[in-house]
Amino acid sequence: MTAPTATSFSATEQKAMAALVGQIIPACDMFDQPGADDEAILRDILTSGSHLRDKLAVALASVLPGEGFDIAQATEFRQKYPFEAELIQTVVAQCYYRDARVMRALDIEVRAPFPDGYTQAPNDFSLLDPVRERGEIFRKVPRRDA
Amino acid sequence: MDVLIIGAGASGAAVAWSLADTRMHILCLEQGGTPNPANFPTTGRDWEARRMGDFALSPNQRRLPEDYPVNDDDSPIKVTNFNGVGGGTVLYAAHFPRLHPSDFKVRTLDGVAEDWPLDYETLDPFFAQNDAMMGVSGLAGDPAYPVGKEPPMPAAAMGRSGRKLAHAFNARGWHWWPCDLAIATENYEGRAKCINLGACITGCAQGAKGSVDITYWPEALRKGVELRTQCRVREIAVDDQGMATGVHYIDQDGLEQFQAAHVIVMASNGIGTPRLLLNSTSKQFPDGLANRSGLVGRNLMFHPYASIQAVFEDPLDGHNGPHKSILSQQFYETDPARGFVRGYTFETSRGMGPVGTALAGMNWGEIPWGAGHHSAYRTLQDRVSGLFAICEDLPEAHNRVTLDPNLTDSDGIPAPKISYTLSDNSKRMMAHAIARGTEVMEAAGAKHVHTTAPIELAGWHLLGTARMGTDPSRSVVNEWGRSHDVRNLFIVDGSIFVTSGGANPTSTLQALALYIADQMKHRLANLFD
Repeated sequence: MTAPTATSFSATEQKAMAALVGQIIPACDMFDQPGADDEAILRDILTSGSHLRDKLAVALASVLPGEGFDIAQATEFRQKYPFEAELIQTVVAQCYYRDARVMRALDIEVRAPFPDGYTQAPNDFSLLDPVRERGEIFRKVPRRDA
Repeated sequence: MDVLIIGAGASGAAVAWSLADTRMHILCLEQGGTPNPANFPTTGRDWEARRMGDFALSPNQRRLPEDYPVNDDDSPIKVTNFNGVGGGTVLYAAHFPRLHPSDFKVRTLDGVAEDWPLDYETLDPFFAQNDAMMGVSGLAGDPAYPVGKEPPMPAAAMGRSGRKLAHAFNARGWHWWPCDLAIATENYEGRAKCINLGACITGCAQGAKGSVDITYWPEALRKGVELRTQCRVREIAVDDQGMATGVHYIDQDGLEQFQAAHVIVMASNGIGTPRLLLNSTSKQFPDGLANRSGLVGRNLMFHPYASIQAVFEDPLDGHNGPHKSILSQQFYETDPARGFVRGYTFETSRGMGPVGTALAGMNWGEIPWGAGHHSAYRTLQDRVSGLFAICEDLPEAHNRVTLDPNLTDSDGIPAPKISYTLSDNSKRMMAHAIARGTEVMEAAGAKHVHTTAPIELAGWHLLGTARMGTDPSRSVVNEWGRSHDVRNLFIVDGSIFVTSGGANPTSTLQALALYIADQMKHRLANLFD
């Protein structure tokens, strides 16, 4: 599916992108996760990747969306256009893994790191005992006044 | 103006703060602005994406108005920096090891490169002064250093990943120690303590990380130093006697200005400093200011990085916590049996956020496109940790910064061009680091190990391009940072490093800047003699 977005991609390119990203990360019933072609995630991809449109145009033109576009064709795209595939993969990951539904499915708190931060367990420096026992390891140099 | 400092980063801030004791009129010109922590990426859920956008490490990728382009096509290692108040400390991981005593004597000890014209003992008090100003956390007693290194705050959390790798280093019988980090682990001098945001290299929204915009600069400004931002210096002017008279710069309104000064201090680091010197040609200095030795821009050192990333069965920290937790300097000092001279530091790379995990997994072939994506992702989520080896880069004259004949910044000033190749010594050192790092990961129980060398986008440390020394034919500045050729020009940044050592340089760079400022204060009566 495609949705109207504030993007530099043409309608045809949006359809091609939807077909491709839906193969990169398809929806998953088992984990209750949307695919990267979910309407909201796709909109984010098309908007966030807008600046890449000119770099991707030729490669996207090779994608013929429709029922026949499957993972084999996506893999072929990846092999034929590795540079463009990596750009798309990066934008897909950036947008997919900040989607609230995806984060919840992965048990990731849906929030920015700041201001709450995260906690860590206290240090246990008894682990350093063998290091201390071995003693100094730096190389001695002649002292200035030697 | 008595003293004009060019660049408000790690070294410029330290010098400004120290020289302010003299009550001289001190001005710093900085081409960027002052960072706003409220705008740092960790304040939003798109924090990982912004790391590849407006907070990207490479100025060529970031392309902000204050950035200048760098032609690094002819280098396997690409330049990373930050142009603004705080300089590289805004985007660094705040790992704060010192160079070792042996680093200052490489010619004497190993017969390579040059000895520094000063030593560890000389810098020792300035290391301590700088640790206090930057707010360093760590643990005293590291047997990889002489006694006396006592961080003012306790070490940051090692976390699950740090403990796992510590056990592995112990299993190998190798050195490790909690990292010295310029990260406040307690409330410190008005800074809030670290809350493990986990994205230190995109700026610390908490203000726990010691970047000089929040450490030295507030103190320097209180002491009367003037800081003008968004002012880009185009050229340093000289008179007929070869003394610097001031600088031509473009102000925040885009207007060209001239600022006269009695003393000029370069603090633009290993790319920016030679770029400006080479752009400052005159009748007296047709090959660039302070360049009668021909060494301005030469001997560029980066620190080649090797990466050893591993996937584990059990959950670790993900991105939660400072990037660095422990280091190992087991292979820091020269051992001829290894097939290379000098050595390296291993530092941990704690883990990754969700986006980083997905991208790493897809690039490694561990997370496929298609139906298997979701299950595979879960085998990597919070289960990746790594080591970076920071390898000593020895100086070679052909590794250099020149001016690009075509590329300019937004003000039309010629941009730097980098020509750099990895030495055979560096290649052998990286291969050793990957082999030993893989052994550590295997001892830690890694399921899979993925290695890279060199890391391409890791030109963090920009060193050596205007090195110090006592011989004017073999160095650009003397043993206290003054140009051999221009007696009122000082250089205090990473460009004066004679060798790189095998550790992150910021601690040493700032100690050196404080030492030079101290020398200037002691020599004020005859500074130009």
